[in-house]
Amino acid sequence: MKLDEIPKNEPIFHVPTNYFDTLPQRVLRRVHNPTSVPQWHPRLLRFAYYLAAICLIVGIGIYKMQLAENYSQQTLSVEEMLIEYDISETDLIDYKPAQANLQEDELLIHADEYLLDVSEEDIIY
Amino acid sequence: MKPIMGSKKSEADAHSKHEWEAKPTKNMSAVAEDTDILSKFKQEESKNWAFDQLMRKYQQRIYMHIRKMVIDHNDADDLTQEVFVKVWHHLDTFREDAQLYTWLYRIASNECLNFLNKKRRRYFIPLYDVAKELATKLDHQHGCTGEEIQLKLQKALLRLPDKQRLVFNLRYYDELTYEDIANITGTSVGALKASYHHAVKKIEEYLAKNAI
Repeated sequence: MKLDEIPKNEPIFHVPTNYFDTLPQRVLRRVHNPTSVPQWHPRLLRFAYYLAAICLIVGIGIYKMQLAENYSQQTLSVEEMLIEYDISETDLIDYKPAQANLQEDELLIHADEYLLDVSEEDIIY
Repeated sequence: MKPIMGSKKSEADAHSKHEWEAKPTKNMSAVAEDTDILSKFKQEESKNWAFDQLMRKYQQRIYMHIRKMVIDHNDADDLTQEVFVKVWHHLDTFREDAQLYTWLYRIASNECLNFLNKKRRRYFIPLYDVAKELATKLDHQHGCTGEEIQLKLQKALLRLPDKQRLVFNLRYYDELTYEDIANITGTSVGALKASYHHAVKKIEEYLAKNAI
């Protein structure tokens, strides 16, 4: 459909009766007695949003910094502990095989315990 | 309720013989010339009279321009009042080398575009939803009557971007020249012609898809 085929004297909008007779007086009244619009309110609200956003960002920043600080403190405290208890590198090296042997012994004990529960009849050859 | 119809004029007498300029309204014996209005407005004792004359001369046209953009009467009423309040405060600074009606149209157009932008920003709704909301208003309001095809045309218009719809209304309904529209919108004549051409194309496509 082409636009030319549509009659142009539209749209028809209705307005309240005598609307245009009273409009100039209403505008003049507004001009001479301006009502104070609380313009500060949206501005204050916007300021509050900005402030809240800044506080949130600063808060997250402080939290992250504290986390990083705690982590470094934890790392240092292990080193400090080694120095404090006079644990040398050789002690640490000896500690590992000792642990390994212990684990092997534990495994053997567990295997014996298991075998105690199994009778000779249960073993199918 | 009183119907207000969009003006139907020939291209030749687009500005000087407007229906709304020629017809005196109920409360005035004759329509004052723009130059008279402006000179009287500068004098303190005749300021109110001049402003009243200006409003009676242009209010229907400005209201209709706004109403076509915002559809709802209450919104159109608020914006029309706002436009004329601004006119009152800034008429002293109006440069008389320009046409008064294009200046009024510019204020009204800016008010409409700001209103629609604010509405969109306030509710975080995309372009389509505003168009949908206005289309619903068009369907439900008691104030709008007309044939089915007119309603469809209005709905097709609501699918256009606000500024393109504004340009279309100024050209199609108000029959302003591209030069005047360029003054009002601050866009070049070439861009306006292209915008209007695209608008017509989009409208015709919509009407073809949604044929009665």
